[in-house]
Amino acid sequence: MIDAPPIDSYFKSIEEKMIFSLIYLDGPIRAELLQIKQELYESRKKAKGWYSRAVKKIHPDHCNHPLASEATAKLNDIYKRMIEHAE
Amino acid sequence: MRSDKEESKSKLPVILKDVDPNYKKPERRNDLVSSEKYEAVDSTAESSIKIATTGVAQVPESAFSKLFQLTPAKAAYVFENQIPDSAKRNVGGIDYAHSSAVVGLLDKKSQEVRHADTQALLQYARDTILSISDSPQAQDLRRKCDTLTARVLPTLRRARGVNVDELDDVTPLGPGAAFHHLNPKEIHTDPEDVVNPEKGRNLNPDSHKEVHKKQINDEQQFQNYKEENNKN
Repeated sequence: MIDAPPIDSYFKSIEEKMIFSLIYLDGPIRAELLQIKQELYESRKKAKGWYSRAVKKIHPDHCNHPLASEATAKLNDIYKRMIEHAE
Repeated sequence: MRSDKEESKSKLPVILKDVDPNYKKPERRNDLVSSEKYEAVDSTAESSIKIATTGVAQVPESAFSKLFQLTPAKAAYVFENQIPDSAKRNVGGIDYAHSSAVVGLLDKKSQEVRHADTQALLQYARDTILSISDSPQAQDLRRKCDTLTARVLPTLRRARGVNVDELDDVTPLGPGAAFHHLNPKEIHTDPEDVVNPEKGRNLNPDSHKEVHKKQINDEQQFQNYKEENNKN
């Protein structure tokens, strides 16, 4: 294994990392970068906390990244699916 | 994720068929697991897995809970975060996963799990999907798909509707012009892409020969080569 620098060092900011993950990634790597865990699918409260923290970072009202709207739409989609079976 | 809501120019319509329940049932590897549990897997597979006209079995998200022996919430996590988007498709508002992605994941989880009953059921679910994918019904659909592909391939150049060599967008197509595929070549090349006139370019023989010589096999490579070629 390569002794690589931490993932955050590849991004200019947390917002950039989140937007990149939402727009370009999927599967386990996206889950890791966005800290999506199994428990979020089981607890509405935890899911809501995760969503609130994320949306505050990337919503176009708070973030002027050109892909902020697209990333927020993707985040909403993930959250909608997350709470479908959560209690 | 592919969706049937997006308009596709592929000449292969993807229609999902119910599974013929006469597929060969796999071995039950643990006799100490109650037969009701094995039968629950059988019943989920028969009622929810579909075989597409591509010959590929498609597993709906709703079947994940029974196949992976998980609660619906945990199954939703698995579908969303452990199956790549490229292996998912939405048909008629239902999300499905390509059987190969599900088989791989079931196999991985069956090797990781410590509980013998769960292991036997995960292996049984994995083998059930493999058996459905190898069933005479699936093989028949794949033969039909191959026949359609052979029939449609020679018509792709005309179906693309472009009458100039697409390397320079100027030279009219002459004798021997051909359709060059730009869909990525994989171990399993998607049969929908093979017969999609949008997944390639019409080229004159010289350009076609050059493109093959340069081993240009995807959209990005073609675009780069075209730009470089037009500069000269």
